Amino acid sequence: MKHEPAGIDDDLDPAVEDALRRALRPVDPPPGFADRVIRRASARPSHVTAGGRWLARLATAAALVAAVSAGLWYRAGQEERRRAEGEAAKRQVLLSLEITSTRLRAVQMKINRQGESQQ
Amino acid sequence: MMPDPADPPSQAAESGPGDAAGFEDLVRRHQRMVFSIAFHFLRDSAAAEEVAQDVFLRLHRHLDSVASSDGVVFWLRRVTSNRCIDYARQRRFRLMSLENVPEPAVEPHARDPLLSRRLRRLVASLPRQSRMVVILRYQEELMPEEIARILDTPVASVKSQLHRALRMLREKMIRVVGDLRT
Repeated sequence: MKHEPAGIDDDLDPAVEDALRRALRPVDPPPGFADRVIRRASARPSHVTAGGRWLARLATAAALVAAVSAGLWYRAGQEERRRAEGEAAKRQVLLSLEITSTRLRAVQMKINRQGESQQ
Repeated sequence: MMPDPADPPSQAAESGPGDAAGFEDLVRRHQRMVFSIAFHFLRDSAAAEEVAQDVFLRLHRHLDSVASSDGVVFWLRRVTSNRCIDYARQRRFRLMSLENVPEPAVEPHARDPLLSRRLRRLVASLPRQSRMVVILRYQEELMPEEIARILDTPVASVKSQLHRALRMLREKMIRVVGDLRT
């Protein structure tokens, strides 16, 4: 892009500006520069496109959600198992108590009957 | 990123920057500009190549986002400027013995190669920010407003840096070779 050849302001010295333009003329890079850049770029892992980056983020988020869900599911399963075991133990205790109570009643009745016959 | 008005809007579409051929085209098209900014700033061909390569590798990494904004030239100028300033700051880049600095080939129409060489040395002695302002102004022919956008600095600051730098260069040149207008 070319702009006015003279100074951008009146108090800039046009002679200095012209000399600077000559001194700072663009120079060619060393031979083979572009080839070296292209070789280095192609040697890197293939560049990740914006779509690729989005997919990678999506995959990471999905993996995170899956891991959290698995953890919650496992924890819920454990609690359910513990609750079921507790229920079973409770049922067994109640059954035992019922059996004991039945036997005690039977013994009591037997004692009562013996007492009545002795009288 | 702001697009550069200097870029033709169809640049990205023309070069197809998303593919390898498009990237290669961008490198070949802009290598001279990127290398020259780095070379004039650092005054060391090897360091300039290192910075320029790094700039293009970054472009390769961000190809999609850069190319889609049609601002490849603006992006390259901005990243090159920042990389040069960082490079000089981080490595406390010292000027090589100026006698050993490889000079670019003198072009046949250069009026006074010795004067240009001395002027380049004086430019290299400017403070980092002023040096980059001078390079963007006289190598790239950018206006202070465009330089301000590239360096992300106020226009007034660019103008005052430019004035100070030119005054300093003029005084030094007069001491070394006499008045440039004579």
